[in-house]
Amino acid sequence: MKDEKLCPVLDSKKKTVNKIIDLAISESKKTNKKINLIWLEACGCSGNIISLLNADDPDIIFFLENMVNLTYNNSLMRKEGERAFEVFLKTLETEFILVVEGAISTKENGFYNVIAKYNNKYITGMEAVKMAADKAKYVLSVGSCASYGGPSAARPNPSESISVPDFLDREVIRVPGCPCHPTWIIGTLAHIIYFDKPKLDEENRPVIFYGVTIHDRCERRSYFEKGLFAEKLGEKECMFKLGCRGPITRTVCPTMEWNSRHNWPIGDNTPCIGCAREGFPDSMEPFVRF
Amino acid sequence: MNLKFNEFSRLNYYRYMEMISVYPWEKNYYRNLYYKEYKKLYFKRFKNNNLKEFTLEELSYYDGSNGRDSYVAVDGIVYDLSLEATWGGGTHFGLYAGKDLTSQFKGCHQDMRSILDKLPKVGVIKE
Ligand code: HEM
Ligand code: SF4
Repeated sequence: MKDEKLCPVLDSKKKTVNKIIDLAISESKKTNKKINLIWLEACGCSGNIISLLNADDPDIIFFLENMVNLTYNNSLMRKEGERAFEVFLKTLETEFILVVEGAISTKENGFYNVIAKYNNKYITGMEAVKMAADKAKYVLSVGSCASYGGPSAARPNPSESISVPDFLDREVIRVPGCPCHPTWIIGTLAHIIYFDKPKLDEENRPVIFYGVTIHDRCERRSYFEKGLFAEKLGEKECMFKLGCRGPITRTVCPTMEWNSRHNWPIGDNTPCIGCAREGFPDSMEPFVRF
Repeated sequence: MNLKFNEFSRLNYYRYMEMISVYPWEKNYYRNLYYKEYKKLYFKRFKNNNLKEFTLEELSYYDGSNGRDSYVAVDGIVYDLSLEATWGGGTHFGLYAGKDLTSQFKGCHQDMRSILDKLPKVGVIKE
């Protein structure tokens, strides 16, 4: 009670979160029209869809039941083969959001990444993304491969992969991370569904999740300022001298944490490897410097 | 060390404020300011005089590995990047410290003096 009189900021801090949560809940109840979603897995490891399954508050069940109509995704959908691809083609006629994970393999016209076979013809990831992106209302590139090329485009890049924004000449919202945090995916989609495009930075990433560097909010920052550095992994000080990429990587990992807010790499004695940054993994090497 | 009057007095002032502060967080605040100022002056010593001469071989020792300092030469001047946050572990976008990186610097940062001017200088390259 006394705090409130002394400092209005303190009081508002406690309420801001509740306000946002209430807004999200009320918006999610207001609209009962679900938008279609196509989630294409191109040249990548499908790690982002697996990461999405780990979502909570809201979890994946709520996401699929109340927020979107996930018509096509080869990991989660029930249909197979040509019948699955027919659903994809049918969705193209409607209003939908396109999510791409994985880079676009361009070698030999995309033949290094075949995602379907339809009418005895191989459909490449490149072709499917092009088809869907021409008609989609929004395009999201989820994960570092889709957003920047990532591991798929790492040296020597045998499949000649490129990122989705490089491949398409339309606006693509980047949601990088290797894998991407489920909350960042659902949060960005929720903002699109209930309001409109979220505020984006100059690299087209949502500012709300990619606004500050890891170094800015890192729990070991005070060690950094005092010049106390860990000499080997497992020590509790700042891991700057071991090659931490926190200062050049923008995500909310320190505050949001992973696996249902359980822990995160630096909290578990691993230096940040800059997985959500342009240039990962080649320019972020070495991951640990001794 | 040749220091300007007001820099000394700032140090003294922070120390004094730390001493007379009653609350621990206030003490902490001034202590932090003191250390920050101290660090700045500490590096100024390198900036103004004591410029060491390095051969490229000597420079290669300071590559940032095993907690060593990381030094990089640009245009014949050796800069200390040990505490530069973007150079974690003496590496920076695939580059390693302990080398002459003039061409790389110009290739990536054009000729931005503002970046270099902020860095502490530790020496020059011996011809
Ligand atoms: C391969 C060549 C290089 C690339 C691609 C590169 C890239 C970058 C990038 C992207 C940043 C901004 C980081 C961020 O804030 O997110 C940066 C900052 C910086 N780079 Fe480089 N860099 C290169 C070479 C060098 C070299 C040779 C030096 C050595 C003098 C250097 C010194 C710095 C410093 C001091 C900063 C921090 C600047 C600041 O605080 O504003 N870079 N670099
Ligand atoms: S561990 Fe990394 S992110 Fe954390 S303070 Fe040190 S350098 Fe910054």
